Amino acid sequence: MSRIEKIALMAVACSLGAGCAGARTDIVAPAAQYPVSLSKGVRDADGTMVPEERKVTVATFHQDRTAWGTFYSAAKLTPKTDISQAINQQVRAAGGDAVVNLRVASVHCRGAFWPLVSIIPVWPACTKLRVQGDIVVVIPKAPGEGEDDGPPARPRAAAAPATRTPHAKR
Amino acid sequence: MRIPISAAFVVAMLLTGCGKPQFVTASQVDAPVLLSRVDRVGGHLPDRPARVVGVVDAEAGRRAAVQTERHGDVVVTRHTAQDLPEDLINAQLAAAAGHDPTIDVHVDRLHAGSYFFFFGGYGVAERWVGVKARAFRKEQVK
Repeated sequence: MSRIEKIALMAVACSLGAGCAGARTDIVAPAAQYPVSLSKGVRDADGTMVPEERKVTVATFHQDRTAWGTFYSAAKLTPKTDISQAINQQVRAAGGDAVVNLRVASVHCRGAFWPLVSIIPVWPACTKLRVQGDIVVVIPKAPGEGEDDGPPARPRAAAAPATRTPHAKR
Repeated sequence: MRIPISAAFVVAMLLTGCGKPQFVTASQVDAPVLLSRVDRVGGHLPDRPARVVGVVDAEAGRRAAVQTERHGDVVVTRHTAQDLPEDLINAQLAAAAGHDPTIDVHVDRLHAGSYFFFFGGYGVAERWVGVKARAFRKEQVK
């Protein structure tokens, strides 16, 4: 059963005296100035994959948002949840180059399960979103380092103190 | 003491696991799984994608159902739960990306939500997160 069919079924049920409430949203980051990846993978400025040895986690990205809906979740009051600004601010503050391992969690709002109020069609309901990720600095390649995706030529422990300057942003 | 059936209902819903979050991540995937338009360190925007090599439409979630009935002073609750674990999303993304270093996955839609529905003493709560994405093979990686 598609999402639209589910909502239509719920709306019919609700109109017959039942109650329901909910919310849904799309998480977007169209204006993020840094790469944001749900995986551990990120590409360097030259397009090659950055090996784990050249990634240093410097901070944790964290953003809590609430998405609202009404009319038994059929109407989105928060159709899009844009995290671009939070990403730009937090990555810039941490001096990072990218966000990796982005994790998104959805959880019911407290008070979502009270039956009486959710009979009311216009009763607003919400979903809490918890977005987290690792802000990483990419250690630049050593001069003359190979064009492949292999590890850097010198050990990270020796390279890190002198090379943790973030890449310049355009 | 008579326990209000609505209170029993709420407690049952919470005990069924409705208070726990539902996660989505792609931690098991090697390739970039990009939510941003920027695809590289330094603020690079991708060139026009050459070839779609995989499509992912996956959802993880948890649906819990609770039924409460009163028999005299006794309130009976029955609850069931159904899980779609987040590992399914990870697995689908990993399958789309493979181990090809020329593949990037671009997320077209990352959505999340929850709803709660009840009728009489029967209730269903569901929360979910989902990903729609396409895997692109770059023609040339410098």
